[in-house]
Amino acid sequence: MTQYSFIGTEVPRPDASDKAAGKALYIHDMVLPGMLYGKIKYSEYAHARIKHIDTSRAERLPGVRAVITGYNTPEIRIGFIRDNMPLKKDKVRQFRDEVAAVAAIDPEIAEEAVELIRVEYEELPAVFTPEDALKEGAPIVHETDARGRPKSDNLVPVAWNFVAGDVEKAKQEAAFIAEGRFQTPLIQQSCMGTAGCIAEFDLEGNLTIHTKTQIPFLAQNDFNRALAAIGLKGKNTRVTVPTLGGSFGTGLDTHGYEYIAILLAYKTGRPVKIVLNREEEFTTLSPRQPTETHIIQGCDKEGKLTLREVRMVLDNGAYTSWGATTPSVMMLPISSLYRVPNVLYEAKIVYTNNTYCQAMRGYGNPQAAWALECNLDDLAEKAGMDPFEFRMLNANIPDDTTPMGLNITSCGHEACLKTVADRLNWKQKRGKGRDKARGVGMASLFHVGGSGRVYRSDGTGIIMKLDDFGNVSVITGGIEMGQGFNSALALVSAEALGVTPDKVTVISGDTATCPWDVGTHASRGAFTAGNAAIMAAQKARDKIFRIASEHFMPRVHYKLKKRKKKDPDFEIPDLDYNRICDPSEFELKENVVFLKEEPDNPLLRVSLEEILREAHYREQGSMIISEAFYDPPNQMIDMKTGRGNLSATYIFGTHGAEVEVDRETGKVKILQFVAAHDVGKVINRQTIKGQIYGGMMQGLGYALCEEYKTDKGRNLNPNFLDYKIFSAPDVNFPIHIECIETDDKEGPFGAKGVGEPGLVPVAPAVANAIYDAIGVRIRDLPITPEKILSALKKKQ
Amino acid sequence: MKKFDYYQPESLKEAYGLMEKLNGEARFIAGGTDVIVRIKQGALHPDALISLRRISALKGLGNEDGLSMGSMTLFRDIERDPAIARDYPALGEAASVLANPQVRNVATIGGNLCNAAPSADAAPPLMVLEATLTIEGPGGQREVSIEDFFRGPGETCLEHTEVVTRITIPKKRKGTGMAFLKIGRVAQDIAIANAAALIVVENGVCRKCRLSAGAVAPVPLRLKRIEGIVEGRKIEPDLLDRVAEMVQEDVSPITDVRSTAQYRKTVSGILVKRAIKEALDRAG
Repeated sequence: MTQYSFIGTEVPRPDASDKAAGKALYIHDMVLPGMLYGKIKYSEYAHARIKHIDTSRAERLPGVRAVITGYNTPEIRIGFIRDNMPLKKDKVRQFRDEVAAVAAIDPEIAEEAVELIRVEYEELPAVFTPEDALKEGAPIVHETDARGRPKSDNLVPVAWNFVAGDVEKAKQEAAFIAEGRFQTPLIQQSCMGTAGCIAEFDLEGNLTIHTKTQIPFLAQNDFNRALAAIGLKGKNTRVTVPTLGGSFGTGLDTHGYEYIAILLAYKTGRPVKIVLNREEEFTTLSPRQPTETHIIQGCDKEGKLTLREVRMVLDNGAYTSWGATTPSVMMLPISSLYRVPNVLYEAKIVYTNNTYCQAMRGYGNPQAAWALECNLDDLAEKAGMDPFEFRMLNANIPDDTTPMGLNITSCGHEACLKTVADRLNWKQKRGKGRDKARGVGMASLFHVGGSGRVYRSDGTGIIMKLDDFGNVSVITGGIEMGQGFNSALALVSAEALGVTPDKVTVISGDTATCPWDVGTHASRGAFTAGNAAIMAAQKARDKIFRIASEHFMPRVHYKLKKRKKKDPDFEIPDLDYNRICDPSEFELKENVVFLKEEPDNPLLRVSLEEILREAHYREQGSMIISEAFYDPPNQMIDMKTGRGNLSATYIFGTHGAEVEVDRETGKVKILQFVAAHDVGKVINRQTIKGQIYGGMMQGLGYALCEEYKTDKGRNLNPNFLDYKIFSAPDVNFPIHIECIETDDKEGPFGAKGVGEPGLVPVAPAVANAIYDAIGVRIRDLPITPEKILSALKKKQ
Repeated sequence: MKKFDYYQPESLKEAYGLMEKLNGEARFIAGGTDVIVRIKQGALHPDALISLRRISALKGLGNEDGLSMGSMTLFRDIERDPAIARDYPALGEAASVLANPQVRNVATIGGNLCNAAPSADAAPPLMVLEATLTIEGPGGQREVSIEDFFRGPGETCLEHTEVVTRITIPKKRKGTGMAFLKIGRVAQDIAIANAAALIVVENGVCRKCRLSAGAVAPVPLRLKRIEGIVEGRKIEPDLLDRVAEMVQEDVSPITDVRSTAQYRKTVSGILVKRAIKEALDRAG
């Protein structure tokens, strides 16, 4: 095994102290000279025709600098299929629809001005469930598509289908079949830092926008289109990203509020800031899609899976974000988690007058895993098999190609399953705790681990710049949003280059200075940027060694002479100090350049910074800057066939829960939780644990308490008093995190992406444990005490 | 948020004077964990707030011949008081699960009662402990049993110019056991339901029973009908199951984002039953 200096260590992340001390600069902290505050007026109906907007009173309010509506601003089409506009004209389709906005000299005046805007509506019949939206004669959410062609139904024109083998035939031949309907609710990403931006124009008409995004370069493209729409074709946008307090997918699209800030800044000629408050974050950002899944799985007599049929309906809400592509990621576990030859998958996405949805961490996978892994336990029971043995029999294996064409290379699925079973003491506990209402359950995950080619490019750039003191700026297009990206990138860069991590500063979040990146999503940050950093480090080392070839020996001689001056007894060894070395003779480790042949000779060592200064301080000098662009070997999914090797490698994991259910109150108590993940290779043990802990907490909230409640499209719990997430005092049980290292050949030092997986299988693992404890299965999330009580009652 | 004036009087007299001067357009404020939230939500629009924080007469925790607490006593202090933990554990337990440590460091027991939420965690233990509230205003002082204090959600028997100054709990009798229980969606939550029980046992027979349930009616409830059934009897499983059923009959909860009315009914009965059981264990 390779010995690493820093890979696999457990160190605090570089941004930890600043964040803990409140020094990190979030969008909320930023104030620019002359800055105005923007505020948005939202719809008062789920579906209505706008008859008239009266902004006169708002315009007259002292301190107001601009009031805009869809009627006095250019039309900008936004969203994944361009079915949305920042300011609505003619019609509103959801409560959060933006109908007007103001910019004022302080936030209070802006708020007051918004309240002075009067909008007359004619209410229209609305639809709030996909089921109703698909009925004959249902109100139509969009009467025309983005190109103006008439539309007569509520189907979003993005369909996902996948077929492998013959599911119908397999059903007839199957020895056992389990069928079920599973639901997941709307949930909010619950970032600690709410969303916001500041837009400003220079006098040439170029835009700078400081904003919360995971996709600065795609956002630059979106905003440049907006500039063209407002008459600034050819002008440029510079996107900068301040410190982010979590993103979880909210930054994968550009949002109405960003375009509104741009329009207000353009109109006023001043910087305009719009930051959402917590209530707006809940009611006007896009939550995770709710799903309704009908699933059938079957196996043969021995328990080998033979078929899987999944039909899913997603509530899109009123407009379409990139969230409409989540079924492509759901397709991965549906086609390829466990080995199953016959698969049918179909996903319908339906417009309603609910808030429009977006991707959230896991990108559809938690919804898919919920149905798959609960139903798998049902099937195991029908087949009379232990759910662990059943999973082992069907587990994924290395070097296998799945029906979707995914090339599984490294694969720790079996190891994850075994680890969870061991840790939970599965054999002693499964099926034996019912008298005490205790049970154990497990569930697995399959996800992209080597990025995912969602766009035509899956690339990322890195620039490494070394200064006179041996400091390394690693300039990346990736985004630190709280996940620990900078920490992973710093360790990989330090290891690959041969410096200590304290010498590395990661610089990111500016489209003007950072190299291009497609976006920080798909658990790809550390994987792609890590690989690019290794490539860039190699180039930098080549340059360093070329400079060293001429300067190493003279530098050694100089230092020895200095030593002789101080210590006359010291004898300078008799060496050829004018020798020109070959670059291949050198090694660089922990900031020191030395000869590979004599790594332990204390005399033949020169610090990196001395070599770097030699490069600069001379005639016809040079500098050490290197760059690299890494685009992983993976494929886009063919929309027609649903096939393609989406990721360069895949990640596996298994979660296990032991629970105790209070039969009288229905409360579920977690007794212990195990998360085993095939991570390829641990880069920073502290960061990876943080990722998995955080994912598990979000997963437990999804499983047990989180629910974005609505009444006819209006959110009822837009704050953390009424919307409950799992927090520290809820974790009164042991958590065991096990990282299985499979040393992936594509990964940077063997690592695979682990950003999203931590939350994927939590809910089904808990549900399966509850079933073991009390014999009832809850199929719609969250598993509230009330649902448990009513299920127990039905069972009696 | 509407702007308001803020006053910090040093004495009750000064506070009454301010209230008079402001023609009743002001509001008293204790810890502010409810009032400020409601102002920010736009549910309250006071012209002025009169803080009770600097008034020393409203402070202090005394434990001679019963328990006497100034209304401005912080929940954090109640939670940490060893004498309360020993003699009045139901109160200590309620204080320790109210909101979170940050809130408990500023929220006061008087404020919790005056806010008069049906779910107030301090109410059920004080109900079973038969606490007396001392109320004072420009017109003088009066004493009110906690049972008569609540009038409805957010409503009490206080006049606008009055403040609660002290909360007094009678000395604990020998053979007394008590408990407080709460159920929320997660650890830090407003109660879906809460309950307290106090039991005095002599020779295995319940001589005194006080029961209270919160978040299941417009005000925190004393369950007198059920107390009457328990008193004079040995507390056995059958009786407890009957109690749980009776609680369901006596409560009238609502459905909101935290819970349905039906679930509140069910768990309210369970909590009262369990609180009695726990109180019984402690009475021994």
